Amino acid sequence: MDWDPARHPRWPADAPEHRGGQFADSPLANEYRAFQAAGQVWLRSLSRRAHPKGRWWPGRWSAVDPEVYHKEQLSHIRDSFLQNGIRPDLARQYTQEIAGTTTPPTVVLQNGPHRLVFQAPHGDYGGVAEMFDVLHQAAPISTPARLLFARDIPGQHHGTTLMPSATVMFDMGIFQPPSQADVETSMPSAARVPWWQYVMAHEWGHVVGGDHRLLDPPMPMMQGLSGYVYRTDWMDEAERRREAYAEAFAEWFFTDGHPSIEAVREAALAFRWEFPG
Amino acid sequence: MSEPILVSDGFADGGSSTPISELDEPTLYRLAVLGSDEAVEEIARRANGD
Repeated sequence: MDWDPARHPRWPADAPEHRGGQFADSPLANEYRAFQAAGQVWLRSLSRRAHPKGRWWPGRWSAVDPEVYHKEQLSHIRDSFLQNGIRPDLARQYTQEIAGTTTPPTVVLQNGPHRLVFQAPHGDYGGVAEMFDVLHQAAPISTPARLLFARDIPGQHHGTTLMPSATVMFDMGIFQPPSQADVETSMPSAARVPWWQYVMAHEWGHVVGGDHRLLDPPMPMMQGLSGYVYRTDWMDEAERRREAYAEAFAEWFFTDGHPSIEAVREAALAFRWEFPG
Repeated sequence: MSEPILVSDGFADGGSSTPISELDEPTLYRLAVLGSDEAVEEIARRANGD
């Protein structure tokens, strides 16, 4: 895959036209328009590309009505409450409370069991979907994944993965340029690919890594990776291992399986990362 | 089985791995609507007074 950043414009967290128009002719505004146009054109093409079967297939994303998605989720939540032994009246009450405090997404894409959920009106949905497909081809995940792109969620300018499920939330700040600290405390690939792609690959590492294999005793390989894991002072040992795994996975992915860092090569061998032939 | 956790990769605000039992209800609600069964189960657990 061509990782030319110009191919996937960044996704400004704040649209220039929402700032009183003074940025109407700025490079950021032009970038935003290009990003918006790419997403809208791609969305219109979905009906011709959707795969008829219910399995994931590269490039075969289809759009789901966001209102329908939201109602289906609320119905599922109510059923889950009942299955967990909550009285029917309370299950209804809690579901109504959730319905009243959450809003439907703006765009929902599905490909087999996987969902991409956007709570922003515009974006390069095709770029995100393509990134998902490439990651899934390189490192398949076995559980249905739900990736949300929204504001006001944990992890400013970063992602948050719910483990052991494959629910990942991405703050819209990932579509902004990274800070110097972001780049300096990440693997070398962070300096040459769009930040949102790096964050997606990192979170994908959490998903494919899960929690199980990382509970083993520390390995020299993990110690070799620790220098690339940011701010390890606040982490406990298990956290350091998880972050080291995710960082190593991202570096392995963006170097097409040929990382220059020895510890990443060792991680790829140990965890059997392998690009499909 | 260990408790589900969130892995927050933001270091600007400190970041941490947070047990799902420590999340506030708005966050749990948002996770539940997204499709997190762990969040739904945590809401149910609290509703049951566990």
